[in-house]
Amino acid sequence: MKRFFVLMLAAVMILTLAAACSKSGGEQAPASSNQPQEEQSSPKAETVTLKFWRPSGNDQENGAIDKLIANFEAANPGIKVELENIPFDNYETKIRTALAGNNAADIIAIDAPTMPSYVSAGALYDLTSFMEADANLSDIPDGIVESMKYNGKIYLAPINEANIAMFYNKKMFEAKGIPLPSKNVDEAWTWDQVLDAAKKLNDPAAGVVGIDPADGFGGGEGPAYFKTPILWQFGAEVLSPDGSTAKGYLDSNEAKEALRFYQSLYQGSKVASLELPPDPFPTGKLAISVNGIWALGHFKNNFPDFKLGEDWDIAPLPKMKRQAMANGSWTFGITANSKHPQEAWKFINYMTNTEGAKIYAEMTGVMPVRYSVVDQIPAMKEYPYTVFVGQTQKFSRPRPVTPAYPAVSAAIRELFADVGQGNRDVDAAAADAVKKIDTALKSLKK
Amino acid sequence: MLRIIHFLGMTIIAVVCLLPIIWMILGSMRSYQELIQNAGHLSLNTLVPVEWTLKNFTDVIFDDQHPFLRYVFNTLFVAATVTLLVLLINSLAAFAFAKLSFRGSAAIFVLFMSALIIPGEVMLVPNYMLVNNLGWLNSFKALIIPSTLSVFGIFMLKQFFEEIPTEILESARLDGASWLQIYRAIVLPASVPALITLGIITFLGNWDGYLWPLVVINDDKLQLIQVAIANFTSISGTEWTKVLAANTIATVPILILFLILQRYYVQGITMSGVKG
Repeated sequence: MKRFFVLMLAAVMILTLAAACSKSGGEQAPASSNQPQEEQSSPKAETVTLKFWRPSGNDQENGAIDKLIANFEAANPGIKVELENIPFDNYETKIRTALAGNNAADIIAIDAPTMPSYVSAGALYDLTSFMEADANLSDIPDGIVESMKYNGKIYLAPINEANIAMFYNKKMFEAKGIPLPSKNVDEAWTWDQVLDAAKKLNDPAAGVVGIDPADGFGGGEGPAYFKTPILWQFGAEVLSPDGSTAKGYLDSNEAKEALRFYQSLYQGSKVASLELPPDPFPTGKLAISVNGIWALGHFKNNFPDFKLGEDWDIAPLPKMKRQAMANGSWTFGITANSKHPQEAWKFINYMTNTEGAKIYAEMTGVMPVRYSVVDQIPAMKEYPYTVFVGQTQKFSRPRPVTPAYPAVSAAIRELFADVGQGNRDVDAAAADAVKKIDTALKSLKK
Repeated sequence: MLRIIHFLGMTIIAVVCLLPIIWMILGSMRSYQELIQNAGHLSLNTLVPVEWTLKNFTDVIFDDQHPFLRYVFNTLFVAATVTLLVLLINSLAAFAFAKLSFRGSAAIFVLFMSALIIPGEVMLVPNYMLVNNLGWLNSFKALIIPSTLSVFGIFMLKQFFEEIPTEILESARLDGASWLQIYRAIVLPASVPALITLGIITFLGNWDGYLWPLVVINDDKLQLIQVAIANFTSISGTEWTKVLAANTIATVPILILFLILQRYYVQGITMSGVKG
């Protein structure tokens, strides 16, 4: 009996210890951050702590955000920013659960096309007056400001533009005697030219795949970001201009032509492969890769022997009936329930205005949105950035703007997987996708 | 002859099982480029590094913003506490269900069992709201307390306890022992293998916990291992060598635990880390 009670006592002790530990752990961060405040020993207003959630990026991105926070805190001693990096794949799960519990951070990073769905759920703070007062909107391209708006109000502040282009293995092109694609944005190759080259480059015996046309088959928002432009390039649209239906747009002849072409890469000419090893492009297993600007830093750091200009080069995205690329990247918003919207805006404005955005762009190598930052970074006027900047300025457009965007994104992802991976009949797959999107649009209206 | 075949067969199975772990450990000691370059084709260097390096480990451990050893400690603490509490609370409950007759015992047990068929994802938001209303968010309480009841554990221990002959317990009762004394002196010692099995399953389940800590913990300093490892993946790809180094570090405590306790581990009840 005695021993049993000893056991119980131990359990209770562990429990209290657990409670104590969690408490001290929770308070540790603010406590330590208060110290510099206390040293000043002035009875100033207490420190405001802003919570800031974003999906974890690569080392350069995480480092840049850390630096921006450090700079901001040094300049604003009354404000403390508590950052949490959240795994990319489950970022939306976490945000949406926390919003349901009224417990989300003050500042959250948001992928621009998902914004309308957050706004219609009442989750975001209206930034219009802040942006108009502080953000110097004329410094941001109009198309991008538009993509930050929903129902005429601004909810997001952009820092950089995502960008994709056609990466190609220069040595492989030269070995097969294929003329190199132009680096000039106005001289993009057509998909027919790309297919022709891919056929020559594809070499299953040597383990070389001709092309990865749209970043394989992943989860999340990636597929919609990479694959929607293919629809546009073939002259199709996803939704009607008023955003009320996908019928007659995603199942139009142009859309089906795009889907058939995409399907033929995997199932017909087989120049694309359903299975690719990790990092196929820098390891010489893939000749043409449609990839993002963010890969530049990754290749530079992790594949120092694979040199831009010597081993590989960048050309604009292929076109068909027209040239098109999706704009909209990760941006920052303030949650509607934040107790400190003023301070949160102060921090966002620091990050996204010229000074912060310049630091971010220089440290990460991504393309800044602001004209003033582009002007201050000489590299932006040189290759390879000319390709990205040119595409953004001339051919970029937002993904469909609708509160039902998560459903649209999922439908496009499944549609391309169905026809590419599953070799499904294009008519049936498109009809299915239209049905999914229209169902989601209808349920929103109710 | 049979012995040789037996031995060979077991050796092959052991190698097949160990290969991924060896690849993980050796892969954590090479550069990213080298790892990926050698991943596509089979040669000695697919496994063995050309240039050995410990950079991945130093990068992972000495990252000021994301102190990995802190996550290891957090996870150890949470998993060990939960395991102890699960064993204590659920063995008591199982003992009651198995050996005590009280009104509605069968009905309550069925009610408990029915909770097993509800998938955890369905309960994510309600659980989150509950923990939020209790004010436990962003603390170890949210990780530990909801995990202390394991329906699967009650079920498993109940099956085990029922094997103990009731006659023994009754004679102890006649000799004047209380139920708690019987539980401690007869039932628990007879069920050590079952307790250790449940303990290992619980510990592993918490060690591998991802979704729940991801959602309830907001302070980076309180985060657990699996969430920290998932953070090595971003839109621009996965830092595979760091993931391998982090996994190597994360495997060590589990390996030690398993080596000590493996002879008790009852095969066949492995419910691969499902929390009840």
